[in-house]
Amino acid sequence: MSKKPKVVYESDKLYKLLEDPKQGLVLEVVAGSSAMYAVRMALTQAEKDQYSAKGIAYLDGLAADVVKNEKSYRDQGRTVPV
Amino acid sequence: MKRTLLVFAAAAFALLSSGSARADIARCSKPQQAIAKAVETATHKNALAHVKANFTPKGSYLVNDYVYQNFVKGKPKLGRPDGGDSYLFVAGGKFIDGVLRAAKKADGTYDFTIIEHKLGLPPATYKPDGGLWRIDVNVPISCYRLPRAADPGANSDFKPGGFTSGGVPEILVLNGRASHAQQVVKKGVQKPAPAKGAPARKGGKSGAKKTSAN
Repeated sequence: MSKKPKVVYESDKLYKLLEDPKQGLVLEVVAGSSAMYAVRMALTQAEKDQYSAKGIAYLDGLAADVVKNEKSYRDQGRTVPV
Repeated sequence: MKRTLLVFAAAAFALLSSGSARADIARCSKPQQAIAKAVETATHKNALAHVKANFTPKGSYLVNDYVYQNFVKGKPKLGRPDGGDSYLFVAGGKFIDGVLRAAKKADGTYDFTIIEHKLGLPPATYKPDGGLWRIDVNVPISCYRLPRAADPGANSDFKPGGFTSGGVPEILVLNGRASHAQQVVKKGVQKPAPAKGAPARKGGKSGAKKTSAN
């Protein structure tokens, strides 16, 4: 039985940062407008570095970018619906 | 006396010509009223007429069960908080009625592929066993305006003017509250029915119960 990811940070801007035992840091974001859904995206090393350097402000920007361009992230195989 | 009347008339004219007498955006903050007017000027569309045509008596949005349980339930305001306001895109209530009617199958379950297609979502966004909630918002009594590309929640396909690129009527509600939340699809309703003669499941969740959308 796989362990549930641990919530590292929860933003009121409809996203969470999770620590997954297999994938490491994972961003969970609510995307969509009048039809909403959640997606998860494992952070790359570059994104982890940016988060270490800039903190929550970086996550705010990354989550907003995922919302704006979710189809593009999904086409690249980065986001997976929850 | 004449001077007093003149001052009063001038004040009344200034109030009316400034547009602050518009009842439809009076519930919005001053900055949001300014944005509402700017968007209408840019798009040549009127939010009040749009709401009367498509969002009366309500607007609606859909969320899957995971989002409802983790990001919606128990929150005082609907939508995405940002800079002191909470932004929520809603579709026309009648439009959502039509989507759910079209997706409802003869056995009472819903075909998520139809819902995804009509709302412009990528295929397999909603997991068939994941459940779906419809949340209604009383748009005419809320602060609302036509959305713009810069609003939180707008995606790269955003089109100005109150309709999505797929033709779905949409409006932005600020700091909205739910008038009604209804789970239209519960877990498991889209799983294939067991073959005749197959043993019934014991003890587990049947998952077959649902409530009607209409």
